[in-house]
Amino acid sequence: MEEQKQENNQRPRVLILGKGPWAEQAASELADHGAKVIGHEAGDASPLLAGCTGQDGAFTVRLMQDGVIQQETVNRILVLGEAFTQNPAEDYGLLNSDFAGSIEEILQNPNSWQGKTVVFLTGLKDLSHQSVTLDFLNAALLLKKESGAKVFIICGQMQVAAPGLERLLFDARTAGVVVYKLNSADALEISSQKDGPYRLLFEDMASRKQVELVPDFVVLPQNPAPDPSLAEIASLLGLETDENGYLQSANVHRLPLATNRAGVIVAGPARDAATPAQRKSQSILGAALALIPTAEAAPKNRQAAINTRACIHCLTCFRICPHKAVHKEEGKLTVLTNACQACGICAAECPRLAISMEDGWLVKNNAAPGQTQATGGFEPKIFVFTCENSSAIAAKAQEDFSWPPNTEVFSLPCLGGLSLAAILRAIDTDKADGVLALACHEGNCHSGTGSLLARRRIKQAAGLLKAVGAESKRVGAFTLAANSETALKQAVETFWEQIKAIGPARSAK
Amino acid sequence: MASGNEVIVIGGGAAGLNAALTLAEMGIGVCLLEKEELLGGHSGRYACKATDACVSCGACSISRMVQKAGQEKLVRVLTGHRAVEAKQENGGFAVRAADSKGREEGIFAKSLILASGFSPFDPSSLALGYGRFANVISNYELEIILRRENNILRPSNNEPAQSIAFIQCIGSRDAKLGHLWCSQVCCPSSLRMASLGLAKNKQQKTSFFYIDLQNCPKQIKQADDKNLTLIRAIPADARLGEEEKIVLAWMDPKSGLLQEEAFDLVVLSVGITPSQETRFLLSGLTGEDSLPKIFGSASGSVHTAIPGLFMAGCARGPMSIADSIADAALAAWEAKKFMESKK
Repeated sequence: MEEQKQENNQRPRVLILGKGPWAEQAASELADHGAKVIGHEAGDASPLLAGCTGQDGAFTVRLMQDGVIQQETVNRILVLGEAFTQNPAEDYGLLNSDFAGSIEEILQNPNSWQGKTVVFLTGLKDLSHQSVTLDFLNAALLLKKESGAKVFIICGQMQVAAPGLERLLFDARTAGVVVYKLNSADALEISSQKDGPYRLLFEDMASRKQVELVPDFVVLPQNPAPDPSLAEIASLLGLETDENGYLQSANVHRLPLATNRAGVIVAGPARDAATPAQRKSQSILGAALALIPTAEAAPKNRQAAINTRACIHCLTCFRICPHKAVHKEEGKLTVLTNACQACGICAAECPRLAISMEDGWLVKNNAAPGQTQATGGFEPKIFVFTCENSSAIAAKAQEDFSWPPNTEVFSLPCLGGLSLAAILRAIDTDKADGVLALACHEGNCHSGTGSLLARRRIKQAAGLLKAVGAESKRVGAFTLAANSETALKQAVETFWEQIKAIGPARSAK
Repeated sequence: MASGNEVIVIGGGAAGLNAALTLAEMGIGVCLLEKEELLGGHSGRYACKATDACVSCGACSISRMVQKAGQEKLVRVLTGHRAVEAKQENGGFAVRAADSKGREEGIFAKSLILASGFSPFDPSSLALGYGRFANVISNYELEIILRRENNILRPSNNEPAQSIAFIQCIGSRDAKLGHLWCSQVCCPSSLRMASLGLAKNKQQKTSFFYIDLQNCPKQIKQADDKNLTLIRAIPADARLGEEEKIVLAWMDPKSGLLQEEAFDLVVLSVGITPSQETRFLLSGLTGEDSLPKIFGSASGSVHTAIPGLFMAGCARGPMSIADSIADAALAAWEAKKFMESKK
């Protein structure tokens, strides 16, 4: 009995947020591997998320079902969402449903279109999607086979960038489906006739002849669209969203299914996966990743620590942490070790200096400074701060690269931890002639905002230097990726020359 | 025969690296075999295409994965070793790996993941001057130039190219070649390189020849640039002009007339085709030439006809870096499931 209880306790508990076949798929994969699935009992309506605290391995979630809120503890959260599509009828102005509509309408009775003309329209108003190509080509082939109907596809950019689509397009053309490509929506003139079918007029780019079609039915595209409930889920879980409203940013640090919050996995329709094959493999992979044992997000000796005596509960850290690693309970703020990714943003932004990073956070690169040939004259002392996700890797990867003489190189988990005070201290206390921050490109910061914050602080430092009569160009920021070796070399050389030209920060005495 | 690894991963590119790293994360020992001296594969040589903001090409992920693989205790990295034979043996898989001097090592594991990548299509046979004119290069060669020079330079004189033509779908979407697949990555990656070139050199003019623009809503929005012309035609012919310029001829889709223009540099976006090595290894394992059927097919998956043998990334069809990384993670999970089922 005791043993069974313990076993139950060790069973990973995974919350699934989402509905439909992909959620079923993930739930069964999880159950097959001994996980207890929360929020997805077959037949039941899926509960709504009402709140979430905690961290990877121990989230406390509040779920609402039938108006009742229940609290659950889960190890991981897998967000799948639900498949949605746009309604294109208004986009194309084809509102007469007798003669235009969705693909389902022609698939209800594919052999009833004998002797008739069907036109599929796609990618003219908006870029089409591979999932529409897949559905349209399959339906077009079926219509040809079942009814011998005249089938046309009028498209903008034919989206075939998915497995099997080019072959399917070839098969459809071979079967007699005619494909017309237009360069813009304006090239197609659509007129409606009273209680009659639509009339389509356009120039065929291949033959350069006017083509007129009066189809018995116009099939309109249903491009995938984000589940409207994702915005609420993103806000409750503190997740990044992309410009279209899917739960992910295009940030490559989130590959394959990760998010900015450790232990929260986003897959399938919630993550802009639109083809059935992609959704299927992502839901299985999502389940798999939910079963990998929990670990600390960053080494303990590099994480943030809050000095509770200095803290005034302003909640800056709680709001600004990109990884949801600051926990607030009864007015006390603590750092969650499974969530803290050691970016240092909280420490750099805390107005009371009540947060410090543990001793291992800042690593001084002790490699021998470069033996750049003596240039004669003034050799500036430069501090360079590199990001371990980008510039530090690019520097290490080059065998022929050496830092200029007199350069002190530091590596940080994220440049978002480089505070304004640290930049000024380098010049003031540590007697550097220049400070260079080598951050990540916008959108490629592991912590999302760290690189933007670092660049903002360099700007602030430049302003302060100017205000006290010093040269604002003593501080600089440059963005790089982990594979930008040449750009790194050029940035460092340029900055070194710049500081050399400005001269020493203080007169020698 | 060395053992101790539970899984062998053949190929140290985007897919192979993430297959190995995901297995290690799940506590499984891996031997990662790479024929080149350095890990990374094709995408390990690609350039960063960010102008100021990241354009999500994924190439920098490879550098991070290479670093991680070197630090991961559960991953035994064997570079400079080509898999010369793979076969089923004693309920597992035996791979013979040879280094450049021909010295061989035998490796045995319970499961095998083929992440042996693709071959870029060789455009030498086309009338586009590749291999004959210095300033006709492939998109892969442009990646390497960009990575090394941080600029688009003409191979003939190492000067920045002022006029560039990109020609898409070289060896992809071609029924005559029997290549009935879209290579998926070349429209977005070539458009990113074109945009980067335009950002670096305001004088540069770029023409982009294509059949259909794939997979790049963001890039199309950015392509609203007076120096970038999108032309829906594929030039069929190239000749050498003055100053080693390349003169292309194409049927202008607007006028229907033949048009000619000289470019400083022509970039052929060559397709992703099955790798001979993958084909050979898979034939040896399955007893038939099965790769052409699998490659880029709608029914393809990480599973193969042989239990315990999985495929990931471009070895089984064209896919982006992001998709290869996801595919490899799934292959790793399926390999783990397979090994558990054998216990």
